Amino acid sequence: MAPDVFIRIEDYLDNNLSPNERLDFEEQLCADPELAQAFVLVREARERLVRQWANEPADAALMETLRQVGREYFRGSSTEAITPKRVSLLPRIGWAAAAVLLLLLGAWLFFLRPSYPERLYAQYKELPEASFAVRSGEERLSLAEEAARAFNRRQYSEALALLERHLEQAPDDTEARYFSGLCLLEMKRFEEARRVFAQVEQVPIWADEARWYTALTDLREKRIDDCIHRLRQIDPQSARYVQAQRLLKDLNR
Amino acid sequence: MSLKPHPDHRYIVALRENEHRLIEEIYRRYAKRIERFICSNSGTPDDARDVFQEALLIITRQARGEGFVLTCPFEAYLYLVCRGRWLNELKNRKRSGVTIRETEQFIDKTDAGALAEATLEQDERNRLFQHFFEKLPESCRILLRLSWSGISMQEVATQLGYTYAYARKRKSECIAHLVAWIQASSSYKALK
Repeated sequence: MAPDVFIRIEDYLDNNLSPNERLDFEEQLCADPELAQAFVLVREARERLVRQWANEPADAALMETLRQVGREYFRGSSTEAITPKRVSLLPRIGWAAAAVLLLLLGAWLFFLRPSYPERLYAQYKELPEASFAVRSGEERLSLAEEAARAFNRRQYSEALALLERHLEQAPDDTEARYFSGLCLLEMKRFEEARRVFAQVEQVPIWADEARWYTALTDLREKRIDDCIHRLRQIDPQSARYVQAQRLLKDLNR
Repeated sequence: MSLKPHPDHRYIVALRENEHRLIEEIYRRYAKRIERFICSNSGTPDDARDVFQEALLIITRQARGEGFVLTCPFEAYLYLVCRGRWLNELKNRKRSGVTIRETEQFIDKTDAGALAEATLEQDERNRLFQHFFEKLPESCRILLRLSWSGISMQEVATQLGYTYAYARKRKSECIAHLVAWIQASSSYKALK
């Protein structure tokens, strides 16, 4: 739906239309179900978000009370925190352990430490939480819901298989396709991940997310020039822009 | 006809007004029961504390709605909200369907059941809208927050250093993004 439509919806909700314009708009709402659907959604978004923002101070104050009182009434990890520490034993054993640890650290630094791109990837990836699922009366999980659970448990191979089955039934579900790309990236199936992100990039609202994770795919595969090229394509208005600029700086060090 | 409040409505007032003494009474009376329920259903005391706290916050948000009156026992309402949240959490942690072992039985939970159901649904909707709003670029979040706070677009444009025309255009783009994401999400489709 064209962004202009939302200017009219907002003008209507803000009471910025003349009586005739309001009537005209209401007639359009009756005649155009797509417009009516968008209108209902914008109105609901405004109402819910505005109410949440207005209640933020009261929520924070209540949470503080609940935390304080909750500490007294639930035995949990907070009680573990006050368990006295055991006094340490033989100092010589401690020194020996420290020496072994140093040796292991040295070995790790020389032989096992991940490469710089891999460390940057780990630092920047911040995989989103999959949330296809909602509470519903049914206790059976849909394919997408199961995939989201698997993804959040970091079982990417299982999540991918479920997402692929889901996408066979819902090929237009860009969000699911995007998460399948993330699974492929985590599984180091770089070429396939790139292909999936290229498809996701075709959908304008997902374009910058897709570019960002394509850049991280290139980074992980040590294709640094491609990664830099991708990062530079990210729109300055995008939520990923700041991270992209930071990563560019890290790559140019 | 106005609804007759249940005597436990005082807990609702206490939560709305953040009244320490009665909130403590809620914990004293019901915390152990909820802990027993969570711990009988694969949870830990820490899980119970979190679920209990979250349920009280969700109930308070619901109770801020105009004309909210509690007409059923608070215990049943609280139990069912905790149950719903915990069921969701278990679904998040496990692969397949979840069977809940009940630890409390309520003689007549019709009112409480319907109220808990409505409360949980409102909470899911709030989370959904909040989730997609947080995904917007920061410039969009600032613009929408300002413009939906009741000040004029001219004032919003001045505060952000935009022209009036650009502020309006940008706002419509931000809303278009938000709406497109929400409409495309399977969570929204399932909630409708």
